[in-house]
Amino acid sequence: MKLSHFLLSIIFCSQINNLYSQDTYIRPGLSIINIDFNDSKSNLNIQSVESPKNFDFLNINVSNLSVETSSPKKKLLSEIAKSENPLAGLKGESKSSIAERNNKILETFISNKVSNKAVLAAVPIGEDGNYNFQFVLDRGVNTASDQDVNLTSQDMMGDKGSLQDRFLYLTEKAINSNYVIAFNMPNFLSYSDETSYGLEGVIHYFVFKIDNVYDADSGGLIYAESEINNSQIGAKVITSKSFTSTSTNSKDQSLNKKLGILPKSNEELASELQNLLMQKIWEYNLREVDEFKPKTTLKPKNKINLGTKEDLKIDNRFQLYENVLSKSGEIVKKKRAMLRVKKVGVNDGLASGDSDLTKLYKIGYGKSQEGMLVVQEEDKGIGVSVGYGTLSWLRLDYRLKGITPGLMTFIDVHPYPGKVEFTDYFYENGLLGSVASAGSSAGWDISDDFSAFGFNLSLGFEKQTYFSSALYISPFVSGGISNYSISGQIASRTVIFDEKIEWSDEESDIYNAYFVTGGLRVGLQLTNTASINLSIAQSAVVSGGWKDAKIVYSIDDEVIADGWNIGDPTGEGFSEESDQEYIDAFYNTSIDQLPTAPAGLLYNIMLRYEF
Amino acid sequence: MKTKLILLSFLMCGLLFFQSCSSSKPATSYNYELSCNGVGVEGVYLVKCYSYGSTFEKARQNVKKDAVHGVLFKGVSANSIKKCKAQSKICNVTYAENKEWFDNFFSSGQYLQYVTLSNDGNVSSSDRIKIKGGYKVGFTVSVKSDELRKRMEKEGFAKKMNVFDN
Amino acid sequence: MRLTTFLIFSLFFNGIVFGQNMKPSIQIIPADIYMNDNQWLNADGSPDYIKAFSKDNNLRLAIAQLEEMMIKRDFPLKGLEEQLKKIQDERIINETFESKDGDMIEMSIIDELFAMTAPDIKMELSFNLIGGGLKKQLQYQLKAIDTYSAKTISSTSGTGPGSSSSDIATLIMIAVKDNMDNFCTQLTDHFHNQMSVGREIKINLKVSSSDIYLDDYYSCDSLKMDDEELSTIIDTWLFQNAKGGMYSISNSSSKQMKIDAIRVPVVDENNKAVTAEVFTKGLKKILRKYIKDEDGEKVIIYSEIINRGVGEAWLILKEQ
Repeated sequence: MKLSHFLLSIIFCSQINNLYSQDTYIRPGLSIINIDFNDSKSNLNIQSVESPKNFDFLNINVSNLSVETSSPKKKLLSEIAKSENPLAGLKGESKSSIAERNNKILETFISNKVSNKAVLAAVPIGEDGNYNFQFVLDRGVNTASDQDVNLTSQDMMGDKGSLQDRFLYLTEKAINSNYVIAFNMPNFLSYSDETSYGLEGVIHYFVFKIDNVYDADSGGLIYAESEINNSQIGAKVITSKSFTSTSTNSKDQSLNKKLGILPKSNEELASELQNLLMQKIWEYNLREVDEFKPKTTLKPKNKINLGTKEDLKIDNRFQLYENVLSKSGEIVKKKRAMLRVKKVGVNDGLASGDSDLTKLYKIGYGKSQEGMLVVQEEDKGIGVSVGYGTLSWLRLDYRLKGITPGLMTFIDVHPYPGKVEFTDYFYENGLLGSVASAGSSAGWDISDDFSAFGFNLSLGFEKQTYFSSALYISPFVSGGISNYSISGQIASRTVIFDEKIEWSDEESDIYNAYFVTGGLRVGLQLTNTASINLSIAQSAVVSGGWKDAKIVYSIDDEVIADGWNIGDPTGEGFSEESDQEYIDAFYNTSIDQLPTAPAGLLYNIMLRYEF
Repeated sequence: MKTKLILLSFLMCGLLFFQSCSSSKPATSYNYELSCNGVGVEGVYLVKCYSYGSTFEKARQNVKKDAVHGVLFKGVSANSIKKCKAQSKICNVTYAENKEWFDNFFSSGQYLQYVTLSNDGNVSSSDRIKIKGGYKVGFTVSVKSDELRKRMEKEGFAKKMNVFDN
Repeated sequence: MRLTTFLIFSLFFNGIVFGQNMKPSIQIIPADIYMNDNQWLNADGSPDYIKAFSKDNNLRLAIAQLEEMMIKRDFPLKGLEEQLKKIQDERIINETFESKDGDMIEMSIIDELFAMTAPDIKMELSFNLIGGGLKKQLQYQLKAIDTYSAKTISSTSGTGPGSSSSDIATLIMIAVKDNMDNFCTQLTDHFHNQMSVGREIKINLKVSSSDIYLDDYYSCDSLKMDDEELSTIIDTWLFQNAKGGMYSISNSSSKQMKIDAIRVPVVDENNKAVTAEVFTKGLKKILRKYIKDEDGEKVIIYSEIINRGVGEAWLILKEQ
């Protein structure tokens, strides 16, 4: 027992230097520049960009970087619509062409000495010709966490030295934490679709990590003041991506007019679009780039000392890791559990040693114990559920982070699948019946090749509350539309003219109603991201109900006459029947398996996966 | 009677066997690592102590004891990253020579007045390692070295530093 | 019965007989290398401590820091700055000692200082700031030297943690604190060792008179020696008076005798520190009072003791 521990300790001691600062989150230093391509100049106003709070913003003195290459291909919707081959626009670029472009960009980046300027942004040279370390020393002090404060309180340097000296070890890391993001945002294009109009834009970005310029063990800054402008300082492209987004006004301004809201002006649209694109970038950055993920040690009761200073929001996701000594003697990080933010601690400013803490709650399974490493690893917040039942079969939900834990908005769909079987009663009664019986003798070609299509679609909100880490309850409310429509051709005749009798395109509903649903889900986590849940809801129709579908008679595609299927044929044409009981009785007899209208008690069981 | 004796001897063997298998760490164990973690304030050694335990909590409980034990009998090793020097052990006697006194010192909790866990007893995640059979955890501990030394000098376990009567 | 027990006890435990706490007195001085590097030198190249103290703030801070820490640990300390001032005020800078025959022997100011304060241990401090830019570190060396034997008791050097503001005061505090316990332990060990084994001193015996030769034959009553060479008589006296009879004679001729590593007790019966000068007085007395020549006639051999610091004395045998 003792010998093995002794050996372990020897192995461990060799690891100790590597692990020394594994969980110290050094706030990354960030500079922002514009990048111009041959075919696309960047239109971004750097001054208007706000970096998120978990970065230290650096002021780099660089004009637009011009790279002799074409811009990344990311087609906007309006461009795809106009182009001849729309599908080609959806296909992404090949990896090799992306790599080639990134290399060219990196070459230009380095040869234009942008890295050097980034270093000078972190450590500027003062009027006396020497480096002015004050800025980066303050960064070191600012990045100190409660843990750093508490661990150095009994250290003589911590007790008697200045704050800058106390946290000098953090400053030495902060100097090397130097990143540059290059943006290319071409001019926005106008955009319109059926319901809205506005602007559409794309943004490309590239994240560079500047090579280390400071070596704590030997001498400090590698480049002297006289060398910094001319030396070749390298960098690496860590990640690059493109995003598109739109910002629009609704074409139907009637509601807004009633509320007295004006449509957004072009400037407002442009500014909103820029914000949307930026938001996507910051969220993506946090998800993908390792160095940008705030990390710390888990304290008792699932609390951590990150907070508003690191831009945390409710429901941000953290993964929990444990150090395990593997058989080969290496220390590896093993994922243990998943946690989300329940309450954000306000910890702006310098760490005091007992700042306000953020509380996390665990979801799923796995051990969570104090001393483990927590790293913010954001997910998209999208949940996909499939299941069976009268309520819905498919659900897509989106976690609304930042408001209250577990708040989600969802879209529920119940697609009544399969072809609906009509009984003989359908073909023998109503206008259809008349057409069918009279038409066959009059040389009509009767086809009963038409089908009914139905769905329930609702949009709602739910709040997921966890009782243990594996059990949750989610009350929800939603409102939606239930629709059953019929389409297709009933009969045609092409003796003299091209005559057609068919179901109308516009008035084809058999059933159309708006309903509201309220209910409760009970769920059990199967893994940390997948769960199974049972929903029970009470639904009520708010307006609408059964409808009488319209039949249209046209010659050469010109509508000559129309009539309603169930409506009373007496009087002027076939008028629309609106008596709900009458229509209900009709369809109950004519449709073999009537899909359940969303009224009454509904249920379903679903399997949900969140990513 | 014979069977009773046989049964009794089996029972004794069993008890002895189980006792030797006991996994609780005796207080005299040297199973920990102690190194300096900076130059402590006046009167204090600021050390990093890595202790073992079958659970995380047990390891944390062992740390204070181990730190005091180390400062007394093992000494504190240097740390080149933190730029602090090794400190020699305080006692010039061994634990075994004064087993009874030291057993009492540790078991009665007297040692607790000379040691505190820095950082509210929170551990940094890189210092928490799951190993076979338990955990190895490193805590930063401040040991009141001056007071501990005075106590040891009073008990005669350490040579007085500034008094020269033999 | 009780008396015998007490006597037996006292035989074994010298400390009880003396019964006093004797702490080694310490003098802290900047090392020569520091004085050289920082150019605090006189015209002749010797260190100028007065100038250093008046102009070098860092040095004053460092020495003050070290002195404070030693005092906190109850070591009797002679403050350097105040002692130097004393010397300066008493105008004994660069005074040379003249022997009665005109031999000039110069003593440096430090030797003068030590002659005045007679510390048991001198601590030499040197330090400098290394590194530029963001982080400056203090590189230091601290040596404790037994003033009697000039042997190093304890030596430590290191580079402390970094500071962005070259806050020398804090850096020195840290460097001193880090090494203090080890240093004090080693000093204590050394002094305990000295109490049992004795302190080391040196005597340099010279004959300046033309009549006396160390290989001449003399007798000494008190030592019960008859017709022996003077050097042998001196040798015997040393053997009887050195602690444990420990000493070593190097370089012996008819006109000179160098005796090193003489072990002497730390204090005498009156609790007075036994310096080389004090010890040599015994020999001086023997030479003056108890020597008879070959013919049996009493001979007075005059000698002069020149103090060369606490651990070294010159004994000059002169004309009668």
